[in-house]
Amino acid sequence: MKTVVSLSILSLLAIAAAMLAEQPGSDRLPIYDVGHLKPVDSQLKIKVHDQAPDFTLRAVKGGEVSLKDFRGKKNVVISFVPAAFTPVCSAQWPGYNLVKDIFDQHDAVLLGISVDNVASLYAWTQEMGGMWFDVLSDFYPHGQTASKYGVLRSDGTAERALFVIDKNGVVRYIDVHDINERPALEDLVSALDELSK
Amino acid sequence: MTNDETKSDAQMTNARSTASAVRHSSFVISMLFFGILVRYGECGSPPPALADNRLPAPQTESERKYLGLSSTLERFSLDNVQADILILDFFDMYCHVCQARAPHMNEFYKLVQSRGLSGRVRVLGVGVGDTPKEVTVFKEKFGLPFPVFPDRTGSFSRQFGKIRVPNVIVLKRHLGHFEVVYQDPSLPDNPEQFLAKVLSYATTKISLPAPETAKCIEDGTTKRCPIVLSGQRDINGKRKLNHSEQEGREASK
Repeated sequence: MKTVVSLSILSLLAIAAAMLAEQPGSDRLPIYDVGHLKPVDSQLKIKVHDQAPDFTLRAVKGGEVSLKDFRGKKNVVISFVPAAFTPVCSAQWPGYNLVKDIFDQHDAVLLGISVDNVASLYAWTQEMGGMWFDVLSDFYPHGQTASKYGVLRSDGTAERALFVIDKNGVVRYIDVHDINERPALEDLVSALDELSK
Repeated sequence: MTNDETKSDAQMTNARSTASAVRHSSFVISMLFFGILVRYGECGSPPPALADNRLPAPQTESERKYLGLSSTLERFSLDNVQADILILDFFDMYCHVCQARAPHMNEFYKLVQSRGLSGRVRVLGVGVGDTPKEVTVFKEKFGLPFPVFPDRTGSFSRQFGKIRVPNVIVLKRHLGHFEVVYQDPSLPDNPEQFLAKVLSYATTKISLPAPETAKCIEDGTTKRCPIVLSGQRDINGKRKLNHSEQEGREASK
């Protein structure tokens, strides 16, 4: 009797699991649905025309990257994203992968920063096909760089924010975006265009 | 302990374990039905509110010509497109899966051209959530030979339900309107097989009732009507009507 009941339960569970697992687009990345979040949950600590706070972070490709490395050499775009394996972030950096030429035309590098550790960032970016730009981990001390810029949210994630910093290390553009949405490419390109004016 | 007492204990133990099994089974069955409700709960729900189903007309004359649009039209609905079959290729410039699959649609487009079917089968790309620059980047990077349109707010895409990208929707013209006949979250890798499937749908008559909300809205100057969805009320993969099901429907008439 027990065996029959157990088998029945197992069969029902298997059927339920199969039905629930058969979602469209199951070949996509396993993205955790965070739901709708408070658009902005931090207070900026810098403003346009300020000197950008320096930082040194571990890079997914190995080694460390400092903002001061680019002083006098390259314009810098910093893209903070909230966290790995979350919906909008997973559909932001792959887009920047397509437009390396736009950054090159503006003599700019892109630095992607998240509060995840290097291993998570590696797994995430590899699943998205890899990135041409440096992906940096602001994991420990947790969110220290995000905090310096005033884009660390109360739950420990970062805002979805873009900073454009010129070759003199001066902040020229800030977009702390609604975390639920993606910044338009047009706005970033306009900010880069402004660098040469 | 007598034999009767032993039997009685055994019966009580059996009764308790049976009751426990029934309770567990009830719980599992309840969870199963809950799961089914979660999985299929939206199937019977009406489509989302009427969206603006028009797109801005292409700027280039060649793309207008490809879609069969007059040079004076500023915005167009799919019903304006001159074709028997319309393939909607939903993508997002920022989606790496869409990027990886872009070449497949190019191959399909070339196959349609090479078979002399371009007059009947048209392909149109829609950048879901994308801006004009973003769809332009996508088109240029992957050399898409067909027109692409930005759908920043998703208002166009919403008429087909909740669209996840990449996604392909096949429509066929029937009685002056385009009807959805096939939807797949991933573009089939083999363009030959996909074309055969597309053409098979073109000759398959599907006639499920249109959603009740499929009513036109007139605001005094313009009249906007939703695309009539037939063959499936929810095209988000929840009740995808495959070819054999369609044939079954035809056979049962």
